[in-house]
Amino acid sequence: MSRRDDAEFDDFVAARSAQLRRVAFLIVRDWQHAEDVVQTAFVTLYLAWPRVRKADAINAYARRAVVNASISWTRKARSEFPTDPVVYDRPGDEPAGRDDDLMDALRQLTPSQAAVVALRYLEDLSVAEVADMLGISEGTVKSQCSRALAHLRRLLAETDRVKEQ
Amino acid sequence: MNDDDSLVVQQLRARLMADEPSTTLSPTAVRARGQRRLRRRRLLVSGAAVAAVLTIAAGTALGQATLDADRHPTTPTKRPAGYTPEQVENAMKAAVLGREGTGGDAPWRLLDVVARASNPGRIMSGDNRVIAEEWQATFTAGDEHRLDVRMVYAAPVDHTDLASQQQDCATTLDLGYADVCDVTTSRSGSVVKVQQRATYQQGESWPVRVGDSAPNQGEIPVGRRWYRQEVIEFRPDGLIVTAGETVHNSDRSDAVGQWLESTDSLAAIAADPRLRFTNPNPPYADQQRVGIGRAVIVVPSNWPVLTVPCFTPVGNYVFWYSDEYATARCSIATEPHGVAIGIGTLDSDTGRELASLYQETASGDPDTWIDSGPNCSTADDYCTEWFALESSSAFFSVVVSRPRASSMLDELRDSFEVLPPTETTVPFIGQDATYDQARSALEQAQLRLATPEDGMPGRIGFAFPSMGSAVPVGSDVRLLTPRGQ
Repeated sequence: MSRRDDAEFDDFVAARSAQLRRVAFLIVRDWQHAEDVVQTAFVTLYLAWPRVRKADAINAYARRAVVNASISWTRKARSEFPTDPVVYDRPGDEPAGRDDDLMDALRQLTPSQAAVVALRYLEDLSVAEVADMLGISEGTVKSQCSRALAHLRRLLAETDRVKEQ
Repeated sequence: MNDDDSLVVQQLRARLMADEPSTTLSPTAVRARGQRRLRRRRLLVSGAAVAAVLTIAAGTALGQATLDADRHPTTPTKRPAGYTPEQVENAMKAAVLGREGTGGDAPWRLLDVVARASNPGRIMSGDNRVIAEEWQATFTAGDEHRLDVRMVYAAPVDHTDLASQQQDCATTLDLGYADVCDVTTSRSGSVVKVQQRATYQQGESWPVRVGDSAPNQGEIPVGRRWYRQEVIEFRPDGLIVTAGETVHNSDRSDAVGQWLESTDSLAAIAADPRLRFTNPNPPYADQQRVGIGRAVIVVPSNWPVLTVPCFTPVGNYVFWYSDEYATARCSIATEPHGVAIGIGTLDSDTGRELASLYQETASGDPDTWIDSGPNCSTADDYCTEWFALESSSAFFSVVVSRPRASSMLDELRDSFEVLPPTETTVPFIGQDATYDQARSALEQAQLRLATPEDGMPGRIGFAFPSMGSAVPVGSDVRLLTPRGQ
């Protein structure tokens, strides 16, 4: 790639990496893995940069790469996901700053539901655009969004109630 | 979205922002990784032992491969009917061993043959290539020479053109891994045949990996240097043949003098007419029935049936809906002129979910036809349709790009049939299945497992007849595994 391409690529990475990391986090549920996934997706984007830039499809390509890489990662790591919350021996052992209720809520979503939520509500894509990107029908997007939000609403409300008590 | 939902989304966004780490991704690090990937594509070192073969990924250029800026006249990706593994292997042997004067004083002899199928994890480069089937034969002439012939039955590349192929060569040169990288073309009508010649040197240093723990940093020991020349022929019918020679030598100039083959000789191997599709099928000239159990639809015989969910799709194909994420990976939404057909079972999570989505058309009668109907958004350039017959336990999920979407959906849906009891389909068997599992799946389908080939246990390459294809009950099915790996 030319220096100009490199500069444009750098600008794109700087501008989009944080948001795409959030998208990946919703699916893989771990910030470190999310960062790895995004980096992998950006490498893929870098390899395709001249072509993608020419087609004026950088954002779409990056989103798709991140979602694909995230879902692939969850598939590989499916057996490694904890099914129960980690129980610490002593109260002080919990990692600082961990948002367990959010993690618990996210854990209830399937990776595909999480992908739909991430694209619809973090990336602000329309139902049609999400359906397009994931290759599913608009009806599926709507139903998955509805179920996912219901899940999150219920779980976040429960954890808020517990905190208040 | 109601107020409650908005609140949840706001909470979610706020918590994500509050929870996320403060680190930022370094564009420079990403670019460095990308450049290393580019280099590694060109230089895959197999094995650390002296006997290791330097296998420059013949597919390096495949992803960026150019076939024709005007598009392919056909979509050949399917092994021709009746073309057996023996025929492929014999053709590869004949192309090398059958020529006069090859191998100098130490004639080539066959070392091993490797076959793989439908493994998108092995996409070599580019982002849109689905390899439907791949064969590689390796020959030796003494300890210091290897010659390999690689055939890839791959979906044609739609999006690249000759300029990008040439650019890829230039990039390779820039990276210092190719000394010569010429792209030559010959044109016949609207079809461009591309032949790429390249020599690679692995002289100074290994491809360097990220992090201090990279094992292969620094200069390559003299005793482990290999040099390679190769010729890749991109044929008009979609078959890509690579002939390459690697030679073990400590010095590049000595290595060049050590070649047993010239690039003309390699070009002759790559162009050997015995390595071919027996009869490239024009679209719709021949058809195959594919499905699960006894439920099948009819598609052109040159559409590949992928047994591993695809990564980024290209062209027309059928894929096994092996898990709930297959759809996302196999979306063809942005690909022009494509048809993707997912087939799966109604008792899977996806099958249940989709059946329930369209349940208003179901009546509880096992012979009920469940059908989403054509789903064409005016904003999109593709249409989808999902259909199943409850009693058949199989569903079909079709995505078709416009402009032929409507007629194509009708054609595919109307081709659905339930096979008579005398016929069944070869079950889909995951690559990680053991032979016992494979045998059990075949027996359930009233088929027999033919004598297993030698190979890695638990790694199913592909099946003859191919998975998903309709066959008479009681047929023998051969399972091939990768060999020599």
